[in-house]
Amino acid sequence: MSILCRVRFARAASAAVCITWCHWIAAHADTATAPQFPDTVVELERMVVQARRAARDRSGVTRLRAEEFAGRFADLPAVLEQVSGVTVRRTGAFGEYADASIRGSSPRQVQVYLDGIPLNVAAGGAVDLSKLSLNSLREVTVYKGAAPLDLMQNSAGGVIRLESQPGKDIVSGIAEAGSFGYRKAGMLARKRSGRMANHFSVDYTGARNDYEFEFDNNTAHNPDDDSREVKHNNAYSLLAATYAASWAVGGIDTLTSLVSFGRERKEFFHKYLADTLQETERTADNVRGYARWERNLSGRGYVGVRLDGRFESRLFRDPLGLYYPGGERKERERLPYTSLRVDGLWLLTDVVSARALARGTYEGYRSENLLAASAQDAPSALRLAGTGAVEIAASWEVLRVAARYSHIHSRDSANFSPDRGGGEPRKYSGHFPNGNLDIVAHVRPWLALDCAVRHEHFPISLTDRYGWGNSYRGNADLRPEKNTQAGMGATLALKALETSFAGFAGYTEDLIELRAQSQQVMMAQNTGYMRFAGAEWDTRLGIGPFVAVDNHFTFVYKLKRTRGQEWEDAVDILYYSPIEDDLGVTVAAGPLTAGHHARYRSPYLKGYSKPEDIVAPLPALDAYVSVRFFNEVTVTYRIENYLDESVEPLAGYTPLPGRMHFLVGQVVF
Amino acid sequence: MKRLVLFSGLISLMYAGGCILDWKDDTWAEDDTSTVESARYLIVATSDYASGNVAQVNVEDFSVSADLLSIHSDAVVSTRSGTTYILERGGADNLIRVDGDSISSSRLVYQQSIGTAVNVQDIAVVNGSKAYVTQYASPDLVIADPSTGEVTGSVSLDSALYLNDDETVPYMSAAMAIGGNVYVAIQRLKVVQGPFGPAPDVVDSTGMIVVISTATDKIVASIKLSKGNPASMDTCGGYLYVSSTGSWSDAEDGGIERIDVSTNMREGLVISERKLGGNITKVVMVSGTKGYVAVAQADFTTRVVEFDPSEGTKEGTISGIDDAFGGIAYDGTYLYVGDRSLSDPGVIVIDPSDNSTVAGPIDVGSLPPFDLAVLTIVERT
Repeated sequence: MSILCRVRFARAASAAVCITWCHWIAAHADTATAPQFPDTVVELERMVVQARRAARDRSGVTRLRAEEFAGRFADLPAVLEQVSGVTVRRTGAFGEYADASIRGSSPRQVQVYLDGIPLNVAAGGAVDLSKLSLNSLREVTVYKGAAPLDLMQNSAGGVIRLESQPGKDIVSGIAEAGSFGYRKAGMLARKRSGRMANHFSVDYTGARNDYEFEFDNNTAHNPDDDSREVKHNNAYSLLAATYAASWAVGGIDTLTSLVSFGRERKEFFHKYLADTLQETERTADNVRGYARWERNLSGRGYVGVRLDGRFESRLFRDPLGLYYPGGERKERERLPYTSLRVDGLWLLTDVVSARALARGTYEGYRSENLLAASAQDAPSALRLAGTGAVEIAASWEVLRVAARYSHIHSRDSANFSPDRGGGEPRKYSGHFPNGNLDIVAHVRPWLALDCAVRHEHFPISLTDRYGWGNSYRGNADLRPEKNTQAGMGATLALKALETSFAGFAGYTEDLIELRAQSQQVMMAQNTGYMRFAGAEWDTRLGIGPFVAVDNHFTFVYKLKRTRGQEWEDAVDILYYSPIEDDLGVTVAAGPLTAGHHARYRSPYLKGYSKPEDIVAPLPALDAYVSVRFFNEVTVTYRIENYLDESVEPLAGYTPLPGRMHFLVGQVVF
Repeated sequence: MKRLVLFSGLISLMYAGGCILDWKDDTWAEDDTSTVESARYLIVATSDYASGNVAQVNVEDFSVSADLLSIHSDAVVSTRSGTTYILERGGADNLIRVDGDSISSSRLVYQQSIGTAVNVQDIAVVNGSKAYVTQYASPDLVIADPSTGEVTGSVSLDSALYLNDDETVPYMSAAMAIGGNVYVAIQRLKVVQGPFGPAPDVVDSTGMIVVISTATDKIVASIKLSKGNPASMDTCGGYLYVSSTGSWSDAEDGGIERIDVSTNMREGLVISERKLGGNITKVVMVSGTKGYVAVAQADFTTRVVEFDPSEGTKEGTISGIDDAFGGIAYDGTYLYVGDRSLSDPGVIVIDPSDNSTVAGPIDVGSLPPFDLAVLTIVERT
C-alpha cells in the first residue's frame, strides 16, 4: 500500500466545469460519439491546469478521499477530528450526538451537504454527525473559508461536503467489529458501462455502547457515593442504501441522479437515571435524492437544472416519562425538503468566467404528539425561500480571483402563534445577503498564497422564530446572526514536504441564544457579539520511502460579550479546547502498514461557569496495523484511546468510552 | 450596638404586628432567651438553568461573596439555627448542608442523595434530627435526618384522596413546619397531553394541605383548598397563607388562602389572582396586614405586589423589579427580592414601610438569583 497522500483542493468554479468536461471526455474517449472541441478544450485545459494548481494550494479547504479514511476511522466525527480548524464535540460513543465547529463557529451554523443536499433543517439545530454512514462516502471536503457558489446558502459557519457520487470503478466490501458491540458491514460497487456510470452501496452500522463510566451519583461534592456504572439502553443502529447513476446523453447532455434511504435507531441513556430502567429511544427514516440535467454550451460553459428532495420522519418514545419531565412522550416529527435549482457557467473571455444560479426551496417542519387527544392542532411551520447567486472569477497564470454574492429571501409561516394561547399565527420574511472573495496566488511552483474574506447572514430557525415546546416562546424581533471573517494562508508543496499555514479572524454579531425569561419560559434572543481568531497548521512530511508524518494543529480563541457589556468585560469561551493537535506517523512497507496517532486537546470547561469544571484530558492515542493480501484484501487491527482516558465531555453527559479495539476486513476490486 | 437595636426592634415588631417570627427561612426559639443574634446573611442560590452557584450577602453593608459553591441549576435554599440547607431538585435530588456563617466547600457537611428521579421540591426542618422533604415525582414524603442527610423514613400520600384521577403522584410542592406539625402542599395535577407534549396541569381539581404530626408521622388533617396548584406558603400570626397559581394558562384562577393552624381549618380566600393581576407564585408575609407576592404578568415580567390580607386588597406594586422569579425573603426588617432581569440581575432590598428601594440590584455573581433565604447566626449568652 502506497503512503497515504493527503492533498488539499478547492473546487474553483471554472475548475468544476473543466473537471466535468475532462472527466466526461476521459470517460467517453473510446466512444464514436465523443464530441470534438479541440480549441475550446485547449483553452479549458489551460484553465484546468491553473485551477487545479490553485485549488490544490489553498489553506481554507481540506479534502479527504475514501482511501484515506476507509477502515481507519469508525465514524465521520473521527474523520473530521483529523482536520485542522474543525473542532468536534462528542457526547458519547457511536451514534451519540456529535457536532462540529469550524474555525470557532457555532455548530448549528456549520452547513453539511450530502451529495449536494443540505442536511441542516429549517427547524434549527446542528447536524448530528454521528448518524451519517462513512462507508458509502467517496470524499469529504471541508470549506473553512469561502464556500463555492452552490454551497453559499447558509454557509456562515463553514461547510462540510460529503460526496458519494460515482467515481472510479470499484467493488468493495467491508466488515468491522469492535468494542462495546460495535459492528459494521458494507458493500460498494461503482461501474462504468458505455455512457453510463452506476454506484450502489449498502451498509449497516451498529453498537451496544455499553461502556463503563464513573458515576458521581449526582453529588459532585461527595466522592464517597461514587461508583462505576455501565451505560445501558444506549444501542445504536443505522442501515443505509444509496443508488446513483450518471448518463452522457447525445454528446452534450449529462444526467445524474441519486436516491438514498436510511433507517436509524438510537436508544437514550440518561446519566441521572443510571440505576433506573430506561426505555427512551428515537427512530428515524429518511429518503433523499436528486436529479440533475446539464448541457454543454458549445464548450464555453454549461447550464443545468437540479431537483433535490429529502424527507425525514422521526419518532421519539419515552414511555416512562423520565427522560424529559412532564409525563410519557411519544412524538413524531416530519421534515420535508425540496429544492429546484437552475445554474450555469459561461466563459466570458479566456480569463474571466461568470457563474449564476437561482434556487427555490420549500422546507417544512411538523411535530405531532401521538398521545394528544387530537392530531388536528399538531404544530407545523414551513419556509419558502428563493436564492439568487452570482460569481465572477478570473484566472491567470499565477493568480485566481473569485467574487461571489448570494441573496436569500425567505418567508416563514406556522399554524400557531409564537405567543401561544393568544394572537394570530404570524408570518415572517427575511433577507439574507452573503458575499465572499477568494484569492489564490501561485507565486512559485512550490508556494501558493491565499486569502478569503466573507460576510454572511445566517437565517433564523423556525424553532427560534416560533418557540417550539411547552416552555418556549417565539420571538418576533429576532435579527439574524451575521458572520464576518477573513483568512489568509500559505501552502508550501515540496517533494517530500507539504505544509500549509492559515490565520483567521472574525466577528459575529447578533448572536442568538436561548435565554430563560421570567416564569422559566425560554426564548431565543439576540444576546450579544463574539470575536474569534485562530491559526491552523497542516504538515505532511515524507521521510524516506516508507515513513510519513502528518500533523494538524488548530488554535481558536473566542470572546463573547453580551449586550450592554464592554469588550473589557467579555468572557472567553472555553467549552471547546482552544488548542488541538493531531500528530500521526505512518510506516508502509510492501503489504504492511502501521500507524500511530496522538490527539492533544488543551483544557476546556466541561461545566459552564466555574473554574473547577475545567478538564485537562490526556492525549487520545490510537494505533493500527494493516496487512494487505493478494492486492485486494486488507485486514486492519486498530486500537483507539489506548491510554483509556475517559473524560466527561460536558456537564450532564457521561464520559466518553475508554480504550476500544477494532478489527476490520476490506476487499477492494 | 446596631445589632442590639435591630434585635430590639424585631422583638417589638413581633408583639406589635402579631406576626410570629416564624418565617420559613429561620425559626426563632421564641422562648429561648439564652441566644442573641450575632450576624445575619442572605444566602442566594443562583442559576441560569444550566448551572448553579451560591452567593452570600451581608445584610449590614450588603457586601457580597459570590460564586462560593457550585450546585445544581435547580436548587432552593433553607436555613435553620445557623445552618444552611440547599435542596438540589429535579435532575439531582440531593440535600446539601453547610454549617456556619460562610458558605464554602470546606464548610460543606454533606451532599446526600435523597433519591433518583423523584424531583425533590422543598424541605421543612423540624429539629436537628428530623426534616421532611417533598417530592414532585413520588407519592412519598421523605423523612430525613438533617444531621446526616440520610433518609430515615417516609409518609405515603398515595391515597386516592390526594391523587387526581389515575395519576400516581399527588405533586407535592411546598412544606412548612409549624408547631408540632408539618404542612405539605399538594397540587393534585393531571398530565395533559398537549400539542407540544405532556405537562401536568390543573384539571378538575384543587390543591390540598396535608397536615402531619411531626411526633407520630401520622396524617392529622387534610385541608382542601378552593384554588389549584399551591406553590408557596408562609406563616404569620397563627395563620398559614397558601399561594396557589392555578393553571399557568389562566391568570385569574388562583389566589391566596388562609388556614388557621390552631384548628387546621381553612378560613377562606384572602385575595384572588384577578385582583393581584396575574399568575401568583412566591408569597411572603410581613404582618397580619401586609404581605407580598410575586405576580407573573402576561408580558413575561414578574412583579412584586403588596396586599393587605385583612382587607383582601391589592396595595401596590413595587417599582423597579422586572423578574421576581429569583426568590423573595423577609428578615423582619427588609424585603429581599431576587430579580432575574436580563439587563441587570441581582438582589433588590426593599423597605416594606414605604416600598422604597434601599439597595440593589446587588450583583450576586456570574449567575442571576434563583432562590433566597435569610441565615441568622446566633450566639449563646
